[in-house]
Amino acid sequence: MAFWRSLVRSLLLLVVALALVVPSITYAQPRTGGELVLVSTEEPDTLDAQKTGAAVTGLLMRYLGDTLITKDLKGNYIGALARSWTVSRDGLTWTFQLRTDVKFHDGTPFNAEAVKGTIERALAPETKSPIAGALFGPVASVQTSGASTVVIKLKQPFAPFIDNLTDPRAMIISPQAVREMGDRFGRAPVGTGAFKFQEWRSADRVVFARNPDYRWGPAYAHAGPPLVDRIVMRFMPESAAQVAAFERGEISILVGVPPTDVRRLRAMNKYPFFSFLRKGVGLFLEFNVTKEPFSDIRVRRAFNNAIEKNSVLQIGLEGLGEIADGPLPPSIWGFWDGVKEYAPKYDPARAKALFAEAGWRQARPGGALEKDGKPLSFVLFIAPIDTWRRSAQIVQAQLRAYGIAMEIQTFEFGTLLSKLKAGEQSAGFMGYTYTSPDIVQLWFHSSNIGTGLTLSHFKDAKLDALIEASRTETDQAKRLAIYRDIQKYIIDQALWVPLWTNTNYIAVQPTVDGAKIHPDGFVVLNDASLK
Amino acid sequence: MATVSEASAAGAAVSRRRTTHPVLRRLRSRPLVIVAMAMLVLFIILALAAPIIAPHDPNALISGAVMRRPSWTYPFGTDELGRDVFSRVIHGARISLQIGIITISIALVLGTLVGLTAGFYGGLVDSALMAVMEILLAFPQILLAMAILAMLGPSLRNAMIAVGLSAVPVYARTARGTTLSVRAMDYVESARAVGSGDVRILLRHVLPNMISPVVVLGTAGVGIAILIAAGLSYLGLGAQPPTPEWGAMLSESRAYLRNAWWMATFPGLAITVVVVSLNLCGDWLRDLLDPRLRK
Amino acid sequence: MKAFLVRRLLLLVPTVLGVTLATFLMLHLTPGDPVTIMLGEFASASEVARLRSELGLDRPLPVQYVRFLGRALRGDLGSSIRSRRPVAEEIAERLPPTMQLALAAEILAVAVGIPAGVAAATARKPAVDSGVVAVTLIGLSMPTFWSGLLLILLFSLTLGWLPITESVGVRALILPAVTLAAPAAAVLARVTRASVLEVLRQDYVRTARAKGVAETIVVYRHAVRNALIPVLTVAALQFAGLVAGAVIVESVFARPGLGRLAVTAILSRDFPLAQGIVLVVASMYVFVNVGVDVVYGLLDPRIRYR
Repeated sequence: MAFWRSLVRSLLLLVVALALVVPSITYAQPRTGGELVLVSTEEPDTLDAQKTGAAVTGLLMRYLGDTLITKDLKGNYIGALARSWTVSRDGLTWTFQLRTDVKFHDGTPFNAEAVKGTIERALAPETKSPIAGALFGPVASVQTSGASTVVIKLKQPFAPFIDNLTDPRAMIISPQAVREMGDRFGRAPVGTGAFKFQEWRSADRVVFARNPDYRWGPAYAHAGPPLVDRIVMRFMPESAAQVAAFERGEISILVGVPPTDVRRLRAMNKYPFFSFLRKGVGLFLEFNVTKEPFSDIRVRRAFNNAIEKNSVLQIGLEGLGEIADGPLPPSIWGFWDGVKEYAPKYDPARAKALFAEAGWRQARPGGALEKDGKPLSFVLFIAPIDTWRRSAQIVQAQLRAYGIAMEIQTFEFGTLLSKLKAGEQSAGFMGYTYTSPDIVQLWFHSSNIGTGLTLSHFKDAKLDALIEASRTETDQAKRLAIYRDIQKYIIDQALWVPLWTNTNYIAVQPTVDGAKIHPDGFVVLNDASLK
Repeated sequence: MATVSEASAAGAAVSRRRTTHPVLRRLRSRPLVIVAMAMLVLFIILALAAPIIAPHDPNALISGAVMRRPSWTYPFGTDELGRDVFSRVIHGARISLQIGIITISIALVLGTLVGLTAGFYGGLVDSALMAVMEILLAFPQILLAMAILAMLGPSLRNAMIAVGLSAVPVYARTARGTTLSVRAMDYVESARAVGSGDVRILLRHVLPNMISPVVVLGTAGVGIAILIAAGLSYLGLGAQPPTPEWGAMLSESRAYLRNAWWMATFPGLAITVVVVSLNLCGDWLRDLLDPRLRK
Repeated sequence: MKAFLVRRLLLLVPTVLGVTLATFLMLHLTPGDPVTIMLGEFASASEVARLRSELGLDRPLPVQYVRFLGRALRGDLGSSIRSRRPVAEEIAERLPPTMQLALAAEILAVAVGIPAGVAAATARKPAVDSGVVAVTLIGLSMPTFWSGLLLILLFSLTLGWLPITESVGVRALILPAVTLAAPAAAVLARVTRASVLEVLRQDYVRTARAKGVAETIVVYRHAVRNALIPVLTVAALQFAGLVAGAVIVESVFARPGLGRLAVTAILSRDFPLAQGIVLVVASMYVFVNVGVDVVYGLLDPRIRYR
């Protein structure tokens, strides 16, 4: 009896001791294990970084892959898979010294051949990569020199190159896996990242597991393997259900809290919030300059004076962002801070004068704006995004006051994009996210009319020349000046009515520790753990 | 007779001496139907007189009145853009009833035409037409409507065409069935004996006698069409903003369910009330027109 | 009996052919060149021409149809534009969750709708009848994207009983199945009610009553049993409708089924995929229809000699 009693007592003591000791241990060293659940409205088309057209794939590749170079939390370029790199004086030869301790998820070693294989595959015509041109366009050749040195030769200086190398879609993939899997690679990708691919259940979730061999973490996180066992990306088309699932604790990190729910969730004082200004212009109205009446620059300028953007921002976006004035937002390097002064202001009188100058007059007060008996009417093409739909209706109501009849036509995003590329629209809504000012090449260079994103269908030698100069100029100060000229010129040509750039909100469960926000707009999960 | 259900009660009432008009008598035993009819009449009045009744322009953004709770000024509150939800629901009656009626008119006219032809001529015409209908029937209405909209492009007009076309086989089948039974009736035989032409027989004798089941089907069909149109709006294939179609209003305000309940509740209630009423009236019409009950 | 079966199955051939022809034409009547859509914006003219001849799109339409049919018979429905995977593989992956959902909804609809209809038809008080009719009608009259969201907010968030992000298992099935079943149950209740009332008016029921058979036995032994045959037909044919209803319900509840795939395919103009799904769902309806006829024929010999 006494024996049992003393046994119970000692066991109890042991339990108490453990209870006292264990928390202090976990406090010193974050707990490992568990899974982090993220959510996305959109599902990837493929997880092949080089073949994707979906933004969500890029986001997922941040966890699955590493790039040669990356950016730290302040936005400085630092080595990742490359220990160091040098650029020749003429900017044409880039030499990378690679890490030698890196392995792909399939066990094959990461080396110079892998880098060569990756870039060559991206550029190969049969890959049909929609992004290789923008990322690696001017690459002439990739040469290896031993196992850990790679030399990339460019056809001409290419200023955006360093930033492009940090793009998640420029991740280095396992050449052996690509060879073995062929087309299946996009369903089971192999990289070198902190997490490795585990499962993709269509329309349901993608699961990445902790890479236990990870030793090459970026400088802004700890070098070793992540603390959580898994990350899960759940695909849910209904955003109201996403928010409900987050509040129920089923989702760990809610990236892109709908504006409607930002205030309510913040007011609960329960969830840590991250926010940052979107890297890109969130919404702009883009004219098709080949279509009446927007082929007339006076009409485009009149629109820029006619629309009162603050209401669009306050009501359309519930004030959660900034008014946009030009093609670049303040969150992208190259933004010219004189743009606010330079851009046209809301000025109804000036708008009416410009309309009149272009021949558009109201026959009677309150009537339609007419020219040669034809009313000014057009269809605005938009995507079914809540904030866009709201903003479109505000713009519509504002234009009605001038006697302009604007109709709204909604298309699924991919369909919208292909219609805008084909030039079926008079005007459309668009928004973009990009990390560097080289977006102006994608969006305004005339070589991208029809196939690329030059949705204004504006063909102009001066703008093309400016953009080309911005890409080949490697002196940063001179480059800034070129970007300033580009921004001024695009505003002069009134190709857009820039409307707003939204602030992105990320809500985190209080049980998640150590999640960080990267300036390029994703959550760093290497150090994240569950309490 | 121990079971007292509506229908048998109605039957019992008929077997007594007729003191009042049988329609009214049957109606009195169904208070729900009276309410439903009143609701439909109310919504039809709202739809017809929308510009007079609605206190505001349904698309006007009232500055400084975003997402207001229901009050005397805004009985149903205002929406995320500062529009009067009450006025939008009233104007929405116009659009949603129009959707239902136009859609069903398309289905009813085409369906009756096909069914009438098939049933009247029989033989190869019947087999061929009904085979086509049978094939179309295999495509679920919403999928067929989505596919048609994907071809024609999303808009309210195209949605009505799509939903209307996708409902044709249902009406064709019913029309054919009743035509077949009407054709066998004595008066059709005698008309034929007198030497009346096909068209004349069809229009004068067959059509009036076979139309009632189709109308019954159509009454509930209006409600179904309103619901399918709402679903299409949810999928982004229906009415375009700022059209105050009830389904579009409901779908666009679902993001605000937690912050502004009134935005979704009123258009949602409007849909429910109208569809319920249409169904109740449809049931009642069926009982009324059912010859077995009339005996 | 055998003759009936053979005849019914032979009739299947033209119907299935018609369904394939209709889906085939769907792709070809749609404006926009499928090849340009397939290759994307970076395709050159020669690539377009090559794929066009590869897919046989430069052949006459009847030839194309026969080839389409031949491939479809071998289970080859082409490849999805978006994912570049075989359509048959995508459909096979997405079919089970939708079948589970539709089956669960069917069972719920039958379990609730039929008793409700019987109760309404045999209720002693008109108020009960009216009440059942009204409640089922409300189930029929709420758009599912709205009722589904309300159920999530009530049962998952406010009461906390059911998960939102789970996608497999019974717990994940409850709310979507209820949402999908509500309109179907309402239809069944109404059909049952009408059918039972109809049977109660028949001579043999009157005779039974006149003979003094207890009312419950009259109702349940005679009326309900006979009334249920047409009801079960409706229930069976509803199944295809439930599969189609998944289009909206699966989006609301983020279930990885065929309905959501259909939405994505149609909205993003992934024509081969959309075509494949429509073909599968339509064929399903045709086969269920035949199945019902055959079972009917077995149950009721009169039908065979119709």
